[in-house]
Amino acid sequence: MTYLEWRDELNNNLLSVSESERRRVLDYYAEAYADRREAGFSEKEIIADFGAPYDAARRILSEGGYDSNNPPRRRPPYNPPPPPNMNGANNPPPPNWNANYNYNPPPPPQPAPAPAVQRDDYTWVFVLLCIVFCVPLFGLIMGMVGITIGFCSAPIAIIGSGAALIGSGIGSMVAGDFFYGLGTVGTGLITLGIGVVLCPLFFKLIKIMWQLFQKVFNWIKSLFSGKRGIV
Amino acid sequence: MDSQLKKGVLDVCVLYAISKGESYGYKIISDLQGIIEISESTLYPILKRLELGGFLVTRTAEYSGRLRKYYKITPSGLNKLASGRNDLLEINWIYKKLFK
Repeated sequence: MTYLEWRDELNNNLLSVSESERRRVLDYYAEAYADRREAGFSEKEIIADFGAPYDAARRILSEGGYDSNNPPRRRPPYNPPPPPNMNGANNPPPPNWNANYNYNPPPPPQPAPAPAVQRDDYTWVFVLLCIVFCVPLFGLIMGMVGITIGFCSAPIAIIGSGAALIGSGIGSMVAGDFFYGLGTVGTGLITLGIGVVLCPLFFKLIKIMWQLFQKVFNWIKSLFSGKRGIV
Repeated sequence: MDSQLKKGVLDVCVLYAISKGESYGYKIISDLQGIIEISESTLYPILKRLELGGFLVTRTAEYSGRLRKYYKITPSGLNKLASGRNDLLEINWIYKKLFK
């Protein structure tokens, strides 16, 4: 069967639709035929791919929004084209086509299995992160703890030494060395006063230091979590 | 594949092929080769239905001394494609839940 014969058969099977729609279908197939010819397919291959005119008409009628109870008017006898002579190998079917010139689509590509992730592969990353971030962070925290202890103990020690000087001065005064004792008590009072003044100041400094550390820590955390925090 | 399901999937495939740029019948089939089997007689009703639905527009231009019909997706077609994509994702999710 030639293409022109195939087209006439299709036309005959589409007598139930309007002339304009039939023309539209025939133009569509004419374009498809021309495009396939340009792509290198033979007339026989194209006819085989188009299928029987009756089947093509039936599909167009059933899926094209026409009356499903209105099948093609007649079905003329149709003999599919014989398979090409493969012995001559003059016209071997292209890839994905069988000997009957029916197109066999290649199986859909299977997604490649995801490579198994080995935890050991990331051990060095973890170690590196520990070295880069954890060790300096640990050192910073320990330093701050040391400063905190120092700032807490310093005013207490000053107050304690002031109290001790006052006690010592009173002792000296009782023992008979009045002026030395008086001087010692005065020194003790001054020391005690310095300690009392420094105590809230140091506590305030400790509070500011830890608040600053918290903000820096939150900022670092936001870098990893992707949420930009306000420092 | 169930015919109704295949019909919906084919619509999405054709819209996808056209969404990459203006195309014509044989090119659409070629672009979908290896993804889903579609023939000229299957494609024609789909193109007609999509055109009637306003999901694509056509123009005819001369090519190599003959006329060729070109199909172009419309904004409405892009919306339908996005909707179809979500449907496919949902089907994929159900498949994974059921069989994997």
